[in-house]
Amino acid sequence: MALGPDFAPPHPLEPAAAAVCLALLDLDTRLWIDGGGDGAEAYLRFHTGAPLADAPDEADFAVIADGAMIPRLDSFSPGTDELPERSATLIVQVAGLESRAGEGVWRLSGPGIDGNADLAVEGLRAGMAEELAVNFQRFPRGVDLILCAGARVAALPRTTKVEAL
Amino acid sequence: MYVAVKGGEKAIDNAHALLAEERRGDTDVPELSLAQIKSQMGLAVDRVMGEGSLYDPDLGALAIKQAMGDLVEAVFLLRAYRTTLPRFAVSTPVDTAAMTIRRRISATFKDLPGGQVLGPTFDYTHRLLDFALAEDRTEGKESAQNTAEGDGAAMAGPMPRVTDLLGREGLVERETGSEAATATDTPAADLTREPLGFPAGRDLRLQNLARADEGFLLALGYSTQRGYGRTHPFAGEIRMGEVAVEIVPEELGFAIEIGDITVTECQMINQFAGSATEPPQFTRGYGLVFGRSERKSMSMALVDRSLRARELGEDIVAPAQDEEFVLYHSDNVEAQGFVQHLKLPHYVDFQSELVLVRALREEAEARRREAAE
Amino acid sequence: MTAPATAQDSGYNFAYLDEQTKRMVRRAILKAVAIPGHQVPFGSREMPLPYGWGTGGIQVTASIIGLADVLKVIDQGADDTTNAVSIRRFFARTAGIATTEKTEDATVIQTRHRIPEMNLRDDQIIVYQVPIPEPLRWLEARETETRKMHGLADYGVMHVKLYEDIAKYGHIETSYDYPVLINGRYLMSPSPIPKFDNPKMHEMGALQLFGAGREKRIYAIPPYTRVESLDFEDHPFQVQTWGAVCAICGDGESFLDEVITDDQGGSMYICSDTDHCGRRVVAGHKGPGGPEEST
Repeated sequence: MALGPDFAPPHPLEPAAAAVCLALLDLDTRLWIDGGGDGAEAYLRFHTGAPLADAPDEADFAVIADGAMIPRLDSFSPGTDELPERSATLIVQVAGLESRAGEGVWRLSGPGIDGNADLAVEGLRAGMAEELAVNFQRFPRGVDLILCAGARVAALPRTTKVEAL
Repeated sequence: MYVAVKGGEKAIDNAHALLAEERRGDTDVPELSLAQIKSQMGLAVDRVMGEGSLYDPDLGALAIKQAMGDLVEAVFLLRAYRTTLPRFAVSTPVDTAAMTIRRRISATFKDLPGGQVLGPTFDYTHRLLDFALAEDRTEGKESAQNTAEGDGAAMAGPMPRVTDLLGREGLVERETGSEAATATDTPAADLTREPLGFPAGRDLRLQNLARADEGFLLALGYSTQRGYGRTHPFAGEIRMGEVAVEIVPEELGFAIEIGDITVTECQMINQFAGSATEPPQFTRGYGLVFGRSERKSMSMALVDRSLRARELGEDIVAPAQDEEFVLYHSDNVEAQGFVQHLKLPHYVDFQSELVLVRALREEAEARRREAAE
Repeated sequence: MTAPATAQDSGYNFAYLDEQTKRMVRRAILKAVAIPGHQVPFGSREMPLPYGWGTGGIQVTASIIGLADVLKVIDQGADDTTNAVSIRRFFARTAGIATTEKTEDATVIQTRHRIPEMNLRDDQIIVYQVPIPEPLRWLEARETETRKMHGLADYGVMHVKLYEDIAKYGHIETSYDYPVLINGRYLMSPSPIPKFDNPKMHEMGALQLFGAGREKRIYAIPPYTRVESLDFEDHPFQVQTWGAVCAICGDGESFLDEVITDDQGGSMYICSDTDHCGRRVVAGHKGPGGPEEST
């Protein structure tokens, strides 16, 4: 992601996650923030005007400052079979993202991916691959994830099949 | 031999130049001023503002001038401009009971508090062309002012609405809660921000109808009178005049007036037998539109009442009761665009059909020959 | 035929739409990409061009385009049809971006009724203008009903309709806007492209976005996604063929438009994709009756 050198959101927000928020959030999106602390909340409220949701399942967007602490995926709205777009988008900060093969990486396949792609995700809570598999199974309902690390972004929509290698 | 048609850009420029020339017309005739349109074609301006969903008589006049008097085109111009405007605030509901009345009639009571005020109306004119108007005249202002003193002058002071009077006796249903969208707890829906969904709330329906094509609503309202979803309507009250528009700025916390607008309101009173939970009472249909647009507000009230069929447990048997049918086809900007898009080239689709029809014909011909042999 | 970036009309925001509207459209696009083939309702704005003339495509394009983009606009495959010219000018004026007629140079291609003949790459986006986004609309007029059918993936009515065509005509009688199944789940209207173009949608490299302004829906096919045209084992899907070649470039593989040349039944065929045709002519291909003979 090409971001200006002066773009420095307050801790714990990193540039990629902050940029994604600024591109997508405004007065019309209900936001739920986890582990962001006052700094992230004040920053996002001020710059986007997004109203805060009281609970995860009421949010259009959730910002999870630390992927190691991400709540279970089924605590967010998956939409309905008729209105699957009324589902949450999770912006999740992780410690590292890298396109590489190797042990422990995720093999991704599905729409948007030519064949398959390997992604190494650092610092995400254990058990996420299994929860993502459940999320994949309930299509068309489901949540969509945007993983962010530093200035990197990897999107995992509900159609992406995740296999832990 | 065929030479591919090039130069679309030039053709478009030329079309625009020709249009400008047509618009201006005979240059020996003085050009229309916006003030002239605004003051002498006021009902056209009102219609354009209503269906254009933007209260601005100057821009309405400009749109009519630019559209050469094509009111649907003028509505389109105003809508396209409206969409670029920032949204500063949502007004509080206007209070039509506090209207500065210019016209107020009730078909249900011979007299009532505040009286009947005929106001400026075509109603009792004999539709005889007034050839005196064909002459150029430079009359003064005195005539309009003087005659207005009698019946048509603006009436200040409270003039209770007929439905409020009936409401005191419990004879007409109360508009409450989300039905009336008078409360500020749930913000009224706005179909220019969120797409129409079904079933649509009454707030969304009324917004749709207020912006709807007058001719479409007129025909639908008329159809209910002829038996396609009959609602036994009475024109409880029609009032036209000026109402104040107020907003509550967050930093102030109380309402301030930002201006006056002219509106026409129609409250239809309709029959309803009652139900297990409700005593017999009248139901209502509501119409409210910008400007002096009586025909539109009455049509709107008829169609609003028809669209309440499901809510009131009536069978849905007629077009005017069919929410999807009415709300999806009422907007003339949408309708005129899609009807006229048939002017755009469709030769790829048509070629596809040609190939298919030719193949089908060849096969049919082959079968016919086989059968003959 | 590439026009460089120019100064943007300062009276309006970049690409006409305000930033809040663009965010709303982008959110709809993201959900559309996440649910391939599903129609996402969006708060379609009133545009300064008529509904039915590309307002959905224009809003999608306006929401994704940036200063570095190069835009191509086609209608019926051609860059020079009046409405394509008009939309290209709209963006040149309101966004000041570069435009092109060359498919390979474009980063964003807005189209009405065709997919370019050239394979599109995964650094390109194609935006379709859509009149009626609901593939089931002719079988069920009500939105409340069709939404349920999509929710349940209940597409029996479409199969019945196609089968009745076969029983009646011996063929499926749909030659354009031929329904497709996206990633094995959602039935989708490909917009009124000829069925000739349907196979190009399958596993296409480019992101495919569909905008229906009047009907207020956005939908999408991500790159490399399975797109199947509905058919039956005994009546497999087939595309149109012409027993003819393009009069200008001689191509017998591309989609051909028929041009009536006289009132005695004379006609000729030319490529619908004008850029494809021009590229072939430059490469030395020649048809049986191109413009050369006419001048």
